[in-house]
Amino acid sequence: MRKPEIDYIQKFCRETSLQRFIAHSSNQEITLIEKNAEQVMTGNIWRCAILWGNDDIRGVMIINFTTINILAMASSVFENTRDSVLFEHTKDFMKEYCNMYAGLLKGTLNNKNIITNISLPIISKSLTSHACLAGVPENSYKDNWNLVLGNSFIELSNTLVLSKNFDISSLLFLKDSEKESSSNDGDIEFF
Amino acid sequence: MSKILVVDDSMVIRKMIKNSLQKEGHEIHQAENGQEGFELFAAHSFDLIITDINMPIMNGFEFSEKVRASSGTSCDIPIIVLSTEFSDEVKERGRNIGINAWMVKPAEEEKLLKAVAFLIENTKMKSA
Repeated sequence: MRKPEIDYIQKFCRETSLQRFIAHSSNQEITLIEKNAEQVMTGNIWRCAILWGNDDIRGVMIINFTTINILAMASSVFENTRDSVLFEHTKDFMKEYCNMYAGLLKGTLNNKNIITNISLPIISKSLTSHACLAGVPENSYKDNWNLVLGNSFIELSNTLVLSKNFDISSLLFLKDSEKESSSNDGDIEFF
Repeated sequence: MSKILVVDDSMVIRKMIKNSLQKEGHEIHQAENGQEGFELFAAHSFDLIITDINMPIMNGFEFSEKVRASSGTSCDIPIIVLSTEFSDEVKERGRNIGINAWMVKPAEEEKLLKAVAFLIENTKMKSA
């Protein structure tokens, strides 16, 4: 039987992805919706991915996007950007978004003594889901959703893998995940 | 006007920081990683450094350690870390290296400008 803690961390991943995209896009009114079979991504599709975790809990976030959609969803970020570098900047924007997403997961889990690490983000047109999910067992937990602004959207998928040794109750603190996913933004601490 | 070195592998983040700081009249120099940042640091005289942590080639911790270990008075330059990371463990490492302030991405412009102004002013007062 699926434990509620799985739902807590999946929900936390969704909320983190939303909060981070809103902040990274200079507070655009992005919303999260269930993956919609009628909403099909077309055009020049790119894929970025980031890995996080340790031996007992790990995740793979994969995002499909088009540069046109990113330009629409984070328009103010790209104001005054020269056309010649616009394409590179949209890819860079998404890599940094992956970093922010995984960084929040790492920080939140590490502060509860679930010590994790994150990879550098990867981005490619030819990156397949198969390559990203190599070695991930069939019984992993998968979740898919979209982030949307008007007609523009990105597709996100999160795969979660837990070992038999992982103490699932250590994720109970994520029950109140809304608070966790928006914490720390822009915080500054002087030493 | 102050001379500020921004070290981050993200073009978008460097551009956002540059735009914010230039509004205040600061002169901004940019590097894509710690190694490039240290080369600039060694060749110029800066008033403040803003650095990311997770970067290829040389990360922000290694870069900051090299700055603090360098000879001359510039080794005391104020350093602000601007990172997606915020666990107690990484902040403690930053504190031990001698980082002056830790800010969690995405940066809020107002807070960043205040921190920059505070640290630059503080350094001037110390050296006066």
